[in-house]
Amino acid sequence: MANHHGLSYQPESFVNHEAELALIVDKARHMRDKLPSPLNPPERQRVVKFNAERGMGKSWLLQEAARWLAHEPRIVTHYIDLEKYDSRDPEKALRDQLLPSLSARLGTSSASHSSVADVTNQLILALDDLHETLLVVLVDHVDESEKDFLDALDNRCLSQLATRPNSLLVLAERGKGHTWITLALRHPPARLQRFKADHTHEQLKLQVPDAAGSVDEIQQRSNGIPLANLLYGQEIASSPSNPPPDVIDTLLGKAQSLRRQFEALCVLRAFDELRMQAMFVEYITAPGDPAWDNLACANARKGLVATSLVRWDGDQRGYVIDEALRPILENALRVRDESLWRRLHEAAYRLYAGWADSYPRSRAEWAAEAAYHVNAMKQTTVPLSQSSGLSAEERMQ
Amino acid sequence: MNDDFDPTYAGARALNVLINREKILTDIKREADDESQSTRVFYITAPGGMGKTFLIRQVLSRFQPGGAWYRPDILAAHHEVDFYHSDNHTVEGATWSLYKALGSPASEFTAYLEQRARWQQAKLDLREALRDLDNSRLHLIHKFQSDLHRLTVDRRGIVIAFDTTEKIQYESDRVQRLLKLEEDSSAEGGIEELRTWLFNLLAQLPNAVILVAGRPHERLQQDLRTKLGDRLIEPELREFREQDTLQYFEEIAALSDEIKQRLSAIPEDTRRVIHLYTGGRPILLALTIDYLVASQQLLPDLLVPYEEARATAEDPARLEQIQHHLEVDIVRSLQELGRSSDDVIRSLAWTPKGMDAELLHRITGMSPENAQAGLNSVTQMSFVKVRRGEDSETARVFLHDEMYDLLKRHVLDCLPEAQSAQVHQAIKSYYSDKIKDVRERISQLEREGRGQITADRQAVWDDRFKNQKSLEKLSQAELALEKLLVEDVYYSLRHQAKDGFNLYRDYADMAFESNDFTLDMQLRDELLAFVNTLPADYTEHEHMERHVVDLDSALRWIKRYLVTARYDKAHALAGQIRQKSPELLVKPAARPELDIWDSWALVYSAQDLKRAESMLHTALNELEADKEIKKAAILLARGHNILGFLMRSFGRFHDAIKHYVEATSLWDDLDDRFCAEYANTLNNLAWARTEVGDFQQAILDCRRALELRRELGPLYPVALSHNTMGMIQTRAGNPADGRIHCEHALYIFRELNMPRGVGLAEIALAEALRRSGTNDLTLYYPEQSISLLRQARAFAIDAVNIFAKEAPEPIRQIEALRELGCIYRDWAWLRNKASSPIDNDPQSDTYNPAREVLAELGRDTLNQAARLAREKTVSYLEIDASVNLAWLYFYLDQFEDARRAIAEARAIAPPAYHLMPDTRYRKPPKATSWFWVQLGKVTVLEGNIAMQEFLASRDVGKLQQAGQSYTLALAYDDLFSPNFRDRKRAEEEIQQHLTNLRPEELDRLHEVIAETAGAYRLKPPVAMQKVLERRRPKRADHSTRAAKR
Repeated sequence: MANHHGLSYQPESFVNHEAELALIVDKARHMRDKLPSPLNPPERQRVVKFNAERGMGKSWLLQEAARWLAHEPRIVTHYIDLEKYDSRDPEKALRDQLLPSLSARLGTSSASHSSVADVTNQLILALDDLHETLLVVLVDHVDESEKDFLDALDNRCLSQLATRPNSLLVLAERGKGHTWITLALRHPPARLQRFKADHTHEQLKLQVPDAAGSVDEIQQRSNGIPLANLLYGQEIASSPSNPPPDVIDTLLGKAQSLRRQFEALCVLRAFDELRMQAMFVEYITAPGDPAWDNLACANARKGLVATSLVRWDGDQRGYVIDEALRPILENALRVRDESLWRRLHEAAYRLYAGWADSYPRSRAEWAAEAAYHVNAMKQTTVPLSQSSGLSAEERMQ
Repeated sequence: MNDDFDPTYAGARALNVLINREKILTDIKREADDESQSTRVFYITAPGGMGKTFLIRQVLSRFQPGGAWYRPDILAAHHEVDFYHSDNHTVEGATWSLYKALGSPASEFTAYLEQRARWQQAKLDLREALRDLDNSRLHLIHKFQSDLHRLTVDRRGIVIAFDTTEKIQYESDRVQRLLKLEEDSSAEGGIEELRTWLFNLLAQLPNAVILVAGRPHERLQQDLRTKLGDRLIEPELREFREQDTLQYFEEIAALSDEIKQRLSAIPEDTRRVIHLYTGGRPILLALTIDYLVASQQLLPDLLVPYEEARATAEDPARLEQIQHHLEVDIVRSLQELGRSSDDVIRSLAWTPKGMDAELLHRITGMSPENAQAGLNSVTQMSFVKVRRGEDSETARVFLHDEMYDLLKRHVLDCLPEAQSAQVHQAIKSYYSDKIKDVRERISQLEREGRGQITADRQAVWDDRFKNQKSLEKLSQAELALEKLLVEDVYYSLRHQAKDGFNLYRDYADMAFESNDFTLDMQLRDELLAFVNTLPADYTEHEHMERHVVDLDSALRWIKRYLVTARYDKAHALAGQIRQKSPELLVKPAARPELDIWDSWALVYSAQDLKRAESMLHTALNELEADKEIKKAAILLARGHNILGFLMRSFGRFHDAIKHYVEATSLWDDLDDRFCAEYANTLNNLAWARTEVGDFQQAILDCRRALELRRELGPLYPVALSHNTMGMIQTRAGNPADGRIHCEHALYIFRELNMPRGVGLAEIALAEALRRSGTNDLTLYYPEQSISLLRQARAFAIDAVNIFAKEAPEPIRQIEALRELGCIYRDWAWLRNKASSPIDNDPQSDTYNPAREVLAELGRDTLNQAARLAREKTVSYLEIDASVNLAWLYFYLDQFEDARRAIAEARAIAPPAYHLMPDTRYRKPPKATSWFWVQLGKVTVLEGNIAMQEFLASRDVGKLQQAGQSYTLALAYDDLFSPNFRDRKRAEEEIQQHLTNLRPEELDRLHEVIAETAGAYRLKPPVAMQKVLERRRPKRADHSTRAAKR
């Protein structure tokens, strides 16, 4: 099965995620054996959800889990890649494709003229007949489907599977995810963790051996995201005539049209419309462009939040870019255009230093933010200008 | 506002069904059906979000036609009077809202509506007529009470409701303590505050069911219990029970198929968990259901089995923690879902005083059309309230209180201050622009509302009726302006407390300057609402110092007492501040300001004037010494004006002029806000100048005051200036001009229905007419002069009656009697010069009794004036009446009576004012110069009598007496001023008599003058000498002869 931007799943190249695999396999075993589970009581939660951004290895995880479970007695697994279904006609896709293939896994089949409800009923009957056998359904690429299709899938299939004692649902989704009707599907998901350096090294050895020696550089640039590891490895190992896909575009996926906005904001730890304005003016605005006023920034913010790569964090006093993605964006920007990267930090510094002056109640907080940007700028190889807003002493340091 | 409900908020849609309120509904229904005609007050308290408003709206709707409880003999309000809104925080605002809530039944409130129209007109015209303005407002309140009372008696009963009563403010403890006097005596002429009015309404209205809803407020509850006793019913408004929550789910599900499908996926177990965690509070339940419907992820705590949740809920700390997490997640969902209305809801959180499309446009940058559409989309949500205004412009959208709190805690407080500063900037500019617009509109409407004063005065009266619509529009615009100013203060206080407080002071000062009690009270409540949110022991908040706030609050009560003519209360409160809270007076300007207001109270109530003078001098010296004091110029100007008034009361006109001049130059340097006070001082100055005979300058000052007042608009001060100008012109010897000004004044006062003003103008007009007829006997034939006196008599009699009965004011009554007495006196003098027949019918248009009758009337009237002046210890008026009586006898050739009256008049003046032989005269310090004027007048009269006797007998001794009296009379006048009306009149009179003397008699008179000057040690040049020299120059041997003698 081809992955969108990276490698197709290759069992021999799978690295890390043992904890997540164990979560699935243990839960399946406990459910199959009807054992109490101290962490995730099966009677309460027959759903495991993973949420992670693009390139974190969700699809590989689900397929690896399916491989593991295939060896387990009295467990039937079925991997559903929702990308394969035409979500524009939910009833047809369910009746003709998805549900029949699932039924087939249970050894039953339905007549070609059956309705979706009939097919579902047969499926549930078949499941009930399995008694001691557990059905594990792994649903991938939830975020690639239309809302109506997911609602239909929920109504016709998942809602019923979620109530069956011998059924375990494993879902993989990105961002905010879908608003499922079935409450059991709306548990907060488990987050997939980034690779540490040793996992990255192992991954590179298996997938891009020529780049394995550059693990430190790659780890620093990729922030431990497996897809980024792969792409940066390929970049290092590739010849100039055959460059790998752009890492940032790949990670942003459909959100790549907003790449400049992401890049403009990537040096900030949190932002709102005001901060967006300051950064956009520094980066995006060209002569003749419409002004980045409050409304334009509010609309831009909505667009960014809609990508699921940005979320609200009251503790951070604003919206934040996905914590795995932001360092990659910043690193990539710095590598590509250090001068721009520095200017953005300067703009952020000026903004926060101004706030520290203007708002005594939160002076310490904004001074800390200003200091953060000063520290970032100190790493620059580009000389800092007087316009940076830094004192001569600070520029010298 | 349309209902374009955003379907993605299906879970938050407002329900139209009452759940778990059967008991209270039954109780209310039972009381409404009760035949006993007693009133019951349901005090419904519960924390925010419990559905109090919804309950009272439902109750009221059941009583409407078509409702389950409708009865034609019960009148129920269509909606509640909500104290959330600042315009309901004055009695006049609350009564108007209650009237509208009752469906504006005009036929039942005719007296109230008539008085309201009068009050609106009075606000337009009666600036500076403080007592009349306040009376008009109080009448308005009383008319409402009586109309409402009659309405309830005429029916089976009425049902009314008040909401958000916890917003009714109490002063801070310290100020409350100082105001204890007010609390105790509010029923006896104190300022009727909203709280007092409401308590009285609840306690006295018969035959009513009154719902009073609000968050728990211990003090209010205590007060209600005390005032209402067993008429108060305090039902428990409980949270939803579990079954109620389950029913709520069902009711919400029934709203649409979409939501039904979504809610059907929520098992009963989870619904019961939600009940536990929301505490059965409807507003939180609605938000949670919306969250359940819309959010991609749910708080795991919501999805636990019921038994586990119940065990958790038993631990209050854990429950609180879960509720906090739930709130955070609800807000997160709102921040991230990207629904089209989310930004609108979030923006609403910035504006607890309500949002309209214009404000939303300014805050968010949305186009006005999108902003309006955005507001329309949220109006049907359970946590959104809409207040429809008088017109579409004033419709506002609000969030539920709980929602404001929630979003403030979890969103607004999280955002950088720069963000809130930007929003506040947008809010500020919105209010600045709106305030400017409304002020311009008011200015335009005021011009329309007033009409013009034209020569054809009847037409003016017609115009005013035609302008009733403008007046109504004006009233709406004024309400809008008050609201905007109060809201401006609300936001400013919360953005930067100190700036907000300063803005409050500016607006409150403006309310004071324009005698706008309604605005003043609204602003006061807004400040209190803010201060009462601060910790009880705060000493400073964002540089806003508590003692400054408390002092300001206390001083404003003094000002309120002053503008409503409650001088005793003002003085008493000033004493309380000094005695009980001296710590409030630590700021440099605090004590001088207090002293100035206190002096005002003393001066205007004519009490302890010496102390007032001393306080004023000290205050002015302190302010002069420290020019850095903010508002020093205003305080100085005000202080000098009061001191001028005080000096005038003492008869120290030159001192009065000095202070008035000082005040006018200070007002002149200040901005237009003080234009009215500037004009007032100019007017006072003009009159003081008149008193010293500086007519030319007086006319210039008065003309400037009149111009300014015409520009400002309100008619009452314009009329005052016309009257002053009339009196000045009369005194300056131009009574014909004076008459025109006084007629202008009289017309305006009559139109304004102001008896006091009418009385004042009538006295002045009577004098102008009298002097027109008598000053220059060559101008009119005696019959014409008598006709003028007849008109003058009618005005004077009317004025006497007004000041005796309609607008009791002894000093003015004495002045009117004095004028009436002078009219009879002059009439008696002229009577036999005219050929008019006798007519003894006082009501007749040709009334013209015999000379003796007129003389008797004059004597009786002047005696009555003198007696009343003596009773009231107004010695300058007593001596004035006595002097005029002496002149009456003189005109009647009753010289002995005249001499007796002269002696009596002289005796009234203290010895220090008398010129004595062999004594160089020294003016007493701080002298009342009016006594010299009166002594001058009686001494001239004495000279006239002697001269008459000399001319009849050629007895040189009489000539000597006349010469001595004339010399002393002019010397008395000079002590007052060498150039004033009575002095000139005296000179003219003496000149007239000198024409009858022979040369040797004139020479003898030269000798007498020199002898008198020597005997009384008069400083040369002697005034009488100069007068005589115009007739016959002095020869060198006169003084030698006098010296020899």
